[in-house]
Amino acid sequence: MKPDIHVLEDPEKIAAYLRDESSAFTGNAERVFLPRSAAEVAWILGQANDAGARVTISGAGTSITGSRVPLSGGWVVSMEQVRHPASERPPVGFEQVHRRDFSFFLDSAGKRAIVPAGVRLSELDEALERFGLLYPPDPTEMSAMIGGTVATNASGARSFRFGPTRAWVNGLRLVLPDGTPCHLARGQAFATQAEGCLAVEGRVWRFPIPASYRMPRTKNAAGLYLAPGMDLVDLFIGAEGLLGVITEVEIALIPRFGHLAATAAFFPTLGASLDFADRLRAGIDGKMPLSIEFFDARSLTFMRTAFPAIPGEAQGAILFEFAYEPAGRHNPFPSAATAMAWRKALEASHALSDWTAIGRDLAEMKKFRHALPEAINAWVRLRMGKLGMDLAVPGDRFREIVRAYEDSAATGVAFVLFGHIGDHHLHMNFLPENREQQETARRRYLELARQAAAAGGTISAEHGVGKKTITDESGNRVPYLALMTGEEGLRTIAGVKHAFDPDGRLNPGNMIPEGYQA
Amino acid sequence: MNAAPKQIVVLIKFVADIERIPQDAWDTERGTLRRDRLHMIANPLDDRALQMALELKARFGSRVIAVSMGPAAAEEVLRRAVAYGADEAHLISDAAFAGSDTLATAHTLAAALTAILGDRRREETVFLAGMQSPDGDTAQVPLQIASLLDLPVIPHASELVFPAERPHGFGINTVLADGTRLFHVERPPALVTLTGYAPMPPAFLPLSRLIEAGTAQIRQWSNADLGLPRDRTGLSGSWTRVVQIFSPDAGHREAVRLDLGGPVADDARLKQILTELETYVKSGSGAVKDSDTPEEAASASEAYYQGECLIVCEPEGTSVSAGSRELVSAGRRLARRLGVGNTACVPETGPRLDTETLSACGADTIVVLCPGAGAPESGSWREEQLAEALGELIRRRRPQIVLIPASLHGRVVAPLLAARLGAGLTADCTGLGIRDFTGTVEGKRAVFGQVLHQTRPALGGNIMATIVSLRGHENGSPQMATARAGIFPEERHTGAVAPVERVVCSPQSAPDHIRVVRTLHDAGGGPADSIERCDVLISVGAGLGDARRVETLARPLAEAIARRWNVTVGVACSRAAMEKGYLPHAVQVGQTGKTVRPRVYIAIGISGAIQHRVGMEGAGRIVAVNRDPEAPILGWSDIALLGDAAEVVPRIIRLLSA
Repeated sequence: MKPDIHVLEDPEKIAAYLRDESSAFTGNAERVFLPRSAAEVAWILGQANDAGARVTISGAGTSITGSRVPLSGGWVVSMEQVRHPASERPPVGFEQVHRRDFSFFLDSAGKRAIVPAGVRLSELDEALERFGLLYPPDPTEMSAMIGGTVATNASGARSFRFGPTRAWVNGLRLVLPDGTPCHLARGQAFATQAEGCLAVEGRVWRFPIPASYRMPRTKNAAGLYLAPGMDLVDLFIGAEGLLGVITEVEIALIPRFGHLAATAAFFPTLGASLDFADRLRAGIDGKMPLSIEFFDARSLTFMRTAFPAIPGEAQGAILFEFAYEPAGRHNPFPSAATAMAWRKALEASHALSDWTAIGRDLAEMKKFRHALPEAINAWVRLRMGKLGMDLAVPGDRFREIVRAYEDSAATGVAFVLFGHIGDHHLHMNFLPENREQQETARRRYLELARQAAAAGGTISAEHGVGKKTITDESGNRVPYLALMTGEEGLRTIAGVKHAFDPDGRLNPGNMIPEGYQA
Repeated sequence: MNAAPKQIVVLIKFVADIERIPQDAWDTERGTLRRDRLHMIANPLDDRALQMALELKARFGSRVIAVSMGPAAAEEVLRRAVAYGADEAHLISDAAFAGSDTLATAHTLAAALTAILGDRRREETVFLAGMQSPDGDTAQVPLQIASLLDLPVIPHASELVFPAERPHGFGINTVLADGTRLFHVERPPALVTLTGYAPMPPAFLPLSRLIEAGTAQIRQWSNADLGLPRDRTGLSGSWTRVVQIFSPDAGHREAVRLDLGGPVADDARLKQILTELETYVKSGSGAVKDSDTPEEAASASEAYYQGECLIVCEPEGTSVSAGSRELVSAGRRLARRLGVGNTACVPETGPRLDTETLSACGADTIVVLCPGAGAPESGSWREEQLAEALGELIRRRRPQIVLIPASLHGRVVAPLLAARLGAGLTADCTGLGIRDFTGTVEGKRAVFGQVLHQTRPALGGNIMATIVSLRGHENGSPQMATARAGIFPEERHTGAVAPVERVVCSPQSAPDHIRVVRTLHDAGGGPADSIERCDVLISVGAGLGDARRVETLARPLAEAIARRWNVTVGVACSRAAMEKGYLPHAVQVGQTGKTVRPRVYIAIGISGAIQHRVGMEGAGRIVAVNRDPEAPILGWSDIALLGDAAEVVPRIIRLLSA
């Protein structure tokens, strides 16, 4: 029986689902389904099986890798209306929290929640705020839907302290590619040393875990999570929709921070900035910051348009956040001992000056942080577009890669270097001004990505690879992921994909381009 | 005497942030406000006063003293003041002070300031404060402190200047309804209230400042230190009493939505909407609704007060301002209910006064205030001098009700006068009625008789409060209220022309260390009045995107409507648009600007902050042109035209001109 599912077929209405925030990909689709529940998603996937249709799952469209773009046509299933839990009644110990147009389950201890995939992070945060609770992963883009952030194992500045999304997912409700709904809770099903095995209602899916498959020693969002003895939940987190559709997420929560301070500190040299980041990473006075962010001298030049008071002699800046105990019941300032410890660390790294915000002034600090992407976007709008990188390396190889970034100045192509230095994860954005520079930047990009991968790092620390491809040294178009996993790694991923989706119809083109033969 | 101020006292009020009132702050079941849900901040204008103080400190090396009266939690705003650069901080806090109305607060603060200054001389001190705070928006306390401490006032300050030609002291530029007035302060004392746009406090401070702020000594003052009697502070010392707080009729309007963003032009529907609006504009005259006035229950009891109604009018040409005429009509209704006379009082400005119009509006008697021999002409009186003259007049005539227009001028005169008389004052009333007051006073529950019930919005229009003044009965002071123009209808009655009495007053001369060195009036002078009077008002917000669009979109639309519908059309703006320089303050609608009630209000690119809403929600029909389908204004508009102003407005003009 066909459930009453909303379907869009008008090309004008479909258009919005054929691209993502990068605008680098354009797809096409026959129709867009707007299911409201896991059961409806299962029904659609069942129909797609019968019809042999390709299916691309769509979240909020905030990706910049084309992961939600239906490059090879077929059907789109948008998760935007999956906004209520699948069960009618909350599990024992949970209650249902109703907001204007969505609901979720929250446990009475305030430690866990069960959230439908179509709820946006900003909506969830606003709802949790009323309970004094926090879902710690903070992918920069708060308009993303939670399902999308789990599918990409998204992370952000505070992943330094809290880890990426993976660390906060306790369980998933999924629909497997053939339309089978399944529920996976962390701690219930594990792989053996060489093989994983998922059993749902008498049916069994098996996938190999070759000893040769290596994951980076860093925060990572590229490739499948595959390790001997792994928890099966981890396979689906960050799988970019290859293996199933996430319809509901069980997450862990913590109490919200009472008081937060954010300090932007300016340094006379790049080295002093890196030293200070090391100091912060080790903790100050035994306490860890929530985030440690970096801006190089070139970034600061862009930011001066919006914040002219940035000291002219600054060659680098570190922005860090601390949760702190206030000095008194009606005194929201950090205690003298706490603030003095921060200040001593700044002095030890020869900081030129610092800007600190607490309370409502944190909003202005957010503007400071966003001043760089905004200035760059304004800059590239008039030019060629930027070439952005998302590399991370293990800590012991970090200075090495920073030197390589800096050496890129020799290419003569402008760039900025900034980002999540806490996780040894900087974004390098080339800003080419003509085709020739663009080519030069591409070649340099390839070198840097290979260097990061060789150092045990990742080629995409926070936003996945989606449908990205790259032209290699010999002029061949190859999957971006191949730079890190090599051909063999791609074959392993393709093998797991085959186990769950033999016809390759769910989210085709993610991680491995369609038609690519390793 | 030394021209440089030795110290600068900044008054900082701890207030609710009305821009962030949580949805559940109003307990609809119990009809009360959950104060614990409110975010508390320093009054933004006080923060700017502190920045002005720091500028003076940089110039003169003065010591900056931050003072706040409030609960223990107000410590936070004082520490912030220290972080910004204040040298000392004082918190005036005691359960005995709780519930103080404006005048009781002024008495408490006046006593506290005297104690805080101690041996330091008031004559060497400059006092700074915001003109008003967004929570109560009464604009009374600092001026009343000035009156009680006998300090000259410089109201509506917007700018601090150090003119090269005057090496001593400093200049303060201030805002008038139709221009600016520049004062020069040769030397202290002075009390300056800020209305405007001095620099914002910095969002970022170095850690060293945070350390200072966190560890600063906050001097606490309780009533054990000040020794105020019960009848000067707290609820028992208040002249006014809140008898009812209620949620304003949220005025939720279900908007007809028309999406004009798409490529398909729905001109037929838009044309139909325009035709309906035209019919609506022409169906009624005047835009006044008096729905905020509480029902006046029939009463058998006696009036609690004795005496007439007295309306303080502002001269304008040969007549008085529109706001004054409206209050004369409002006063007549109150006077008829009480069976007393209604007197219009006008400072003398010229040989000819249009007594016919004043009589027709409802004046039974007209009193002209004339300067005595040797006194300057009344047109040049400063606010303190007018308050003194009115004080004399009121002590003589003993009215039971005094109404004053809440113009920029009236908002200064009224609190000075109330402090002088020891009278309760309710600012910016939207409803005035005579009803029995039954309540508990001094532990006794009784029917007091008929008193003036004054209803006004508070917390930026999030709540309504009805207030009465009871204590005037003891000392013979009147019940006082102000109201903005455009709130009450101006009436026309037929009958005899009211007799004119001339009363001679000789207020003290203004202090010579503070001079008005320049007064500038805007050319034309008309727009300020006209936006409160026109049938249709086009109002632009920051969403317009470009100042030039005022001329290319808003004014052509105004002209097209005026021509096609044959009605009066004005162009106004939101505060955000005014701050971007699109249009002057004189045509700004909202809490810090004008209250308007046109038949049709067309808001272009205005998101609809609560402060804007309180200035225009009395409009007959609200039309919102906005790109953002989530803009708050759409929740209380009658018609929502979704789309970019640059496309929607020309389309409307085209349809109107077809």
